Amino acid sequence: MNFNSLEYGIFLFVVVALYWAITQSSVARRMLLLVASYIFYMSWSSYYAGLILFSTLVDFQLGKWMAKSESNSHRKVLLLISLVTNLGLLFVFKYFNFFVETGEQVVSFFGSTVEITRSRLLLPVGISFYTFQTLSYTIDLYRRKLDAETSFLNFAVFVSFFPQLVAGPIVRAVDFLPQMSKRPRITPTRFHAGLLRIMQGLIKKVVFADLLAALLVDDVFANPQDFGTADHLLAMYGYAFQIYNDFSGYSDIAIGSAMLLGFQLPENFDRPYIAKDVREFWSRWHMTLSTWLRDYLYIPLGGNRHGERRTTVNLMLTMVLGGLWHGASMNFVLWGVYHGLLLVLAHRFWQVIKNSTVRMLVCFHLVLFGWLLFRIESIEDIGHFASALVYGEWLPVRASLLFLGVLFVASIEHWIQPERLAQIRTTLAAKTPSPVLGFAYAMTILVLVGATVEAPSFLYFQF
Amino acid sequence: MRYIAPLFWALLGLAVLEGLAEYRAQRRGFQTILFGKPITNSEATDGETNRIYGPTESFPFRSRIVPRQRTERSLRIWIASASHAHDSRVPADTIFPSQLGEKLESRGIACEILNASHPGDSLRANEAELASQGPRWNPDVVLIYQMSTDLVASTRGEPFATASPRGLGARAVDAMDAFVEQTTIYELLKSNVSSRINASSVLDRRLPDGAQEKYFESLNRLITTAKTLGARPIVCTFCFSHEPSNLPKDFRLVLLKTAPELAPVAWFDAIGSWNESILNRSDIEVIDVASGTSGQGKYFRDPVHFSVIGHDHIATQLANYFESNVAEVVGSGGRE
Repeated sequence: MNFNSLEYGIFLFVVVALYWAITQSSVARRMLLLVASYIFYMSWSSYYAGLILFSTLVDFQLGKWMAKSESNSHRKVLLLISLVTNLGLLFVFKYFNFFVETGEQVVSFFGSTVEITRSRLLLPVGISFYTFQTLSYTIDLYRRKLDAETSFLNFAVFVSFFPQLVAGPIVRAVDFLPQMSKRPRITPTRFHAGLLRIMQGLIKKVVFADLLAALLVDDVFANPQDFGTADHLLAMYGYAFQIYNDFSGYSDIAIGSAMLLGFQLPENFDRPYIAKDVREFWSRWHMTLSTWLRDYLYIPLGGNRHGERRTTVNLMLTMVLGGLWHGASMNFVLWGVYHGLLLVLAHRFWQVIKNSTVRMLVCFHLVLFGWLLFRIESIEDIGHFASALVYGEWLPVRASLLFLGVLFVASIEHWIQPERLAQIRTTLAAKTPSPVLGFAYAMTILVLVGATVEAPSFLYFQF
Repeated sequence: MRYIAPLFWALLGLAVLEGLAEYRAQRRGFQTILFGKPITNSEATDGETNRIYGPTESFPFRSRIVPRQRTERSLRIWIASASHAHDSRVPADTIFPSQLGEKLESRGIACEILNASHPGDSLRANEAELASQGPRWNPDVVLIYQMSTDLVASTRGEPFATASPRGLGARAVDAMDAFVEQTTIYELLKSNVSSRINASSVLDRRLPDGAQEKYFESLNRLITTAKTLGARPIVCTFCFSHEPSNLPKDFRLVLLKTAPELAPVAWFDAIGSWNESILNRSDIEVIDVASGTSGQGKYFRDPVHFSVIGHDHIATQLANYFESNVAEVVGSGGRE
C-alpha cells in the first residue's frame, strides 16, 4: 500500500473517519489504530507482521521487568536481551547474507575457500525503522529517562503506528507515548494543515522525485555508456533532488497522516543542501536517524570526550554503522566511510574556507559525490561512472527541457524555509474559504494524476 | 462543517469537471460513464445488427451468431486476437472478422466466424479461451492476429503471470481504481499530460531481453492447443501504421500511453523483427497481411488498430488467402 496510491487514500479516509467517530472509548480508538496499523503492514507482508508483534511483546515485557528492578546489573542484562533480540532479528533478516559473502571473500583472499548456505529470508519492510524505535524505548528505560509503559495497547501502537511504520520518521517512545495517554484533539485548521502537508509530500514524490527519475536519472544510471558527460552530471544533480524529494515527501505524508489522527511526529528534513559543512548537513538530513545515532551510539561510545583520536574512531564507527543501516551492501559501507571521513575532515579543516556561499557549494558537491556511492551498487560501476564524468565524451545532451525545468523548480523549492511553508499551510487551512480550498485540493489531485508516469515505491522502503 | 466542506467542494469540482469533459467527449463520439455511448449513424447500425451479432449469453463471440452445432460443409474460423479484432469503437458488422465472413460468403464459401477476441487479450488469454471453449465450438481454422499486447506485457514486471486471488478489500480497491481509470478526466490527463511527460523521457529503444522468446513460446502453445483440437492454426503477421520517423504525434502519444517506457522505434523494430521470424518459420502457416498494410496510415486509427477501411482491407486480404487456399484449408467445410 504505497502512500502515493488510491488504496492508501481510501485506507486513510476510512481510518480517520472511524477514529474521530469513536467519541466515547479511548481504548476503542487505540485498538482501531493498532488494527489499522497491522492491516497496513500486512498489505506489504502478512507473515512479517508476526515479527513486529514479537518485538513488541519482548520489549514491552522487558520494559516492565526493567521498571520493577532496582539492580543495575539486572537492568543491564534486560537491556542486553533487548539489544540481542532486536539486533539479532535485524542481523538475521537483513545482514546475514552480506556478512557471509564478505566472510567468504576474506577467506578466499587468504587462499582458502569456504561455502556457507545463504539465507532465503526476504527483508521485512521497515525493519530498520521499527527496530531502532523499540530500541530507543528500552535504552531510555535503562537510562531512567522514561517510565515503563503500562498499557500494552499503547506500546503496540507506538511500535506499529502506520504513518511512520515502514520508512520513518523514527519516533522515540519519550515523544510518542505521552501523546497516547492524552485525549486526541483536532481542529479544522489542523486537519486541513495535515491534508495540505500530505499534498505537499505527494507533489514532492510524484512531481519532483518520480519525474526526475523517469525523465533521465534512472536511464543514465542503468546505461551510463549511452550518455555523455553532461547527462552524467545532470543525472547526479537530478538524483540528489530525487532522493531528497522522495524521502522528505514520504516524511511529509507520514507527518500529515499523523496530524489527521491528532498526533505530532518529529520533523525529518530541513533543506539539507543549503548546509555549509557536512556536520550541518547531518543536522538537516534524516534528522531522526542522525539524532538517534548521536544519542544511542556516538555519545555512548564516548563522543568527543576522550581526545581527538578517540573522537575520530567514534565518528567513523558511527557513520559506518549508519551507512550499513541503510542496506547490507558494500556501497553503503563505503558511503558511511566517506561521510565519516568528511566529518573528520570537517572537524579539522572546514574553517579554512571563509566564504559561506563557497562552503555551501563545496559541501553540496561533496554530498553529491557521496550519492554516487549510495546509488550505484557495484564498485566497478562507480568507477565507470566516475571516469565517465571526468574522461567522458561530450555527447549530445539527451536530458529534456522538462527534466531541466523540474530540476530547476525542485532546487528553488529547496530554499523555502519549512517554517514559512508551515505558515502558508496554516493560513490556507484557517483562512481560505472552503470552496477555494476544495478547488486547490481538486487541482492538486489532477496535477498528481497527470504527473504520475509510473508508480515506483519510495526509495527508503528498501531500508 | 469546516472539516468536510473543502472536501465536498473538491469532490463537487471534480464531478463538474468530469461532467463537462464527458459531455465534450460524448459529442466527439466517445463512450462515457454518464452519457453512455454516442448516438451516431454507426451506432444506429449496431443497434440493428445487435440482434444477429454476439456476444450473447449463448454465443460468446463478437461476430455473426451461429448455432453451436456446426453447419455441414461450412468453414468455421476461430479468430484469436485482441482489441484489433474486437474493436468496440465500430459496429460489429464493420470489424474485419465479420467482414471476412461476408466476403467469403459472397465468394461462395460457406463459413462461420467465431471472433474470440477481447480487448487486452494476450496469447496466453487466447490459448486459455481456445482450450476452454474450443472443444464446444469445434473450429476448422484458428486464425491468430496477436502481437502488441504481448509486446507491451514484456515491458512490465510480471508480464505473463496470471493475477493471484485477491481479497475482498483489494478487489474493492481494484474496482475503485478501474472506475477512476474509466473517467474522462483520467483519460484526458493520461493522454495529454502523462504521455507528453513520457515523450520527454529517455525512452527504451528496444524491448527487454527475452521478450521475443516469450512471445514465441506463447505462440507455440496456442498453435499446439489449436492442433490438439484438430484445428488448423494460421498466424498473421502484425501491422503497424507508420514508420517511426513519420508517426503522427497523436499516434506517438497513444504508444507512450500504452507502454510509457518504450520508444516508438522499439515498437517498430520489435514488430518488424517478430514478423520476420514468423515469416521465416516453415513449420507454421502464415498470412502476411502486414506487407500490404503496414506503413499506410489510412488503414489505421492509431498505430495498431484499424480504421473502418483498414478492417475492410485486412478482411479482403484474408478472404483472398482463404479463397486461393480454400481446398487445402477447409477440412470438413468447403464451397457450397
